[in-house]
Amino acid sequence: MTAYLVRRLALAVPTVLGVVTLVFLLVHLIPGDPIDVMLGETAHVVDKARLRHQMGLDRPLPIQYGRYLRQLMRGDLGRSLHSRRPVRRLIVARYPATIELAGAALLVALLIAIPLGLVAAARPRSTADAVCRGVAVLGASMPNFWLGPLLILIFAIGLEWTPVSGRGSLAHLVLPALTLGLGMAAVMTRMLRATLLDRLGDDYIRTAYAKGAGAARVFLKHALRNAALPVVSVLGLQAGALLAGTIITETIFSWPGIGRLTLLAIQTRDYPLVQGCVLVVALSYVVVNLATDVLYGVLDPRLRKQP
Amino acid sequence: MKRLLADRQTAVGVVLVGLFVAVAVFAPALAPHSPSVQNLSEDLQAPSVEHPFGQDKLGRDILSRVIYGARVSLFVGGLVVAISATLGVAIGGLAGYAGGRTDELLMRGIDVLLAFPGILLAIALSAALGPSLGNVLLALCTIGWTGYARLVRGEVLAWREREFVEAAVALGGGPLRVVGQHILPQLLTPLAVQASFGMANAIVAEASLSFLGLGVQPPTPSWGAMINEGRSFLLFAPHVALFPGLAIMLTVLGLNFLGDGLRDILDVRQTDAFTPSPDGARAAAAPAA
Repeated sequence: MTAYLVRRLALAVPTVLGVVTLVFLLVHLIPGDPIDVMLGETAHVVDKARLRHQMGLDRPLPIQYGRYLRQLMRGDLGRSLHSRRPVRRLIVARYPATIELAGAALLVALLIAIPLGLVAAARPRSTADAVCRGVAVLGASMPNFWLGPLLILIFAIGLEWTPVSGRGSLAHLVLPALTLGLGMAAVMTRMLRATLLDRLGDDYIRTAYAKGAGAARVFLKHALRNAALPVVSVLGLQAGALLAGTIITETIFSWPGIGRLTLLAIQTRDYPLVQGCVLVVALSYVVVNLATDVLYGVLDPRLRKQP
Repeated sequence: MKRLLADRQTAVGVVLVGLFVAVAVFAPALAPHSPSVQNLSEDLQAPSVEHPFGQDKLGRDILSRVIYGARVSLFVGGLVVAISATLGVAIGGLAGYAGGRTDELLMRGIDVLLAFPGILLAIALSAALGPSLGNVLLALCTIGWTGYARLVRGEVLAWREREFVEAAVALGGGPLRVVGQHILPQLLTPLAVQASFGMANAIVAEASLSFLGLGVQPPTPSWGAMINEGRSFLLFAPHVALFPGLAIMLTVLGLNFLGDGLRDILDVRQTDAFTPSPDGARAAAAPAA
């Protein structure tokens, strides 16, 4: 297991370096002079020169890159152009809210996907299966920037069951978590159903039945356990969608997380903050994928032996 | 086509996609009003006979804007799929056929792009390049081609071991000829499935960028931007956000049904027991990150 872990970590190193490089280059993709874009063309020439020097944009590109890497090693993500506060501090203040929302969305997805997937696979081609599949396809087709306002309209404005926006109580979390989690639930339901149906045709399932095991035991203990592997991998892939989805969901519900901070940074052209947010979200995704790979290795011992 | 329409769900997909394509093509003939003519004295009017989907905050006819919005969505979706598929097939084909260091290098590059949640990279690129239709296309193609490249690379690796491919190589066929004439035709099935889901993803991504103000700019009608605009009037004019959202949902639903149907019908496992790798179709079904 240790060798497997080391191998996975070694594979993640070039990916992380690539992510860091792309995020570094982001400012250099800005058409024209990035300082003009950030401060406006009418800004005083002294202010422009100061910012250019502060961001190191007056140095050759390789030197800027080396400096950026050194700063990152120290945990320095630069300084926000607008609040003048360190980007790291701004992100650290917002990160827990995003994790709270993403965690709740994941829980929502699992609570919906597991029962729906089980019901659909237990009675394939039945009415229950058709309903579960229909719900899943509908969920997958509903963009969260439309679902969010719809949920607000029904549950916050119409029924007054939840607050419209903000963070504070459990009630505040319900609608954003549903908005973010329903799409993921749809994908997982379809995956779980398909994998369970595949597994139910395997020889060991027939053996389990032949040995006298009941349907519930065969289904839950043998089939579900083996169907967990692909579902875990989808979970890892979907975590990326979840993290990126927070930008829209947090904007809709005024949730004070990194997603909303990213959009505010984009709108105010605060590029050091944009870079910091994008880097942190991308690295979080790399870590989640790494964790998924490790979990995959724990669940399936054959993978650990692969070169 | 007959097999596609035999399955009820796929038939619904074909009808929905066909309907929106027709709406986009014939938008000038179908739209009852101009999508950009303002009528400030009739702002936020509820649906009526004259304006079946109501009017927005500038008094523009929402039905006409939804109809013209289909043009933007399908144009972006179609072009992103075409460019991404072309790039992905070329790069994936090269990686799979050349193997060795070329393959390793290209795959590591793809891994880096895939390390970003797709829409996040598109948002970051659009933020850097500035909001415009061209930059939306660039951002979505930057993330879109990787899926096709991975798919094609995997398939080429599997197909190049087949006897007829080895025979083509033995007869002096160059890489371009072998891949283009012998391997590529075998990949049309998984590519068609991937394209269907890819188009759905591109339409949602374009609408997401427009929703965030990073996509198509006003006054060009875009479904995502219309929903964002309607968010402010949810309490007293929910129709402003409702109809463009329905349009996105139905288009994506149609493409998902179509993709599912194509995969089931064209699935090589069901039709040809000797085909080596059905993984392409399965990979295409995996959700885009």
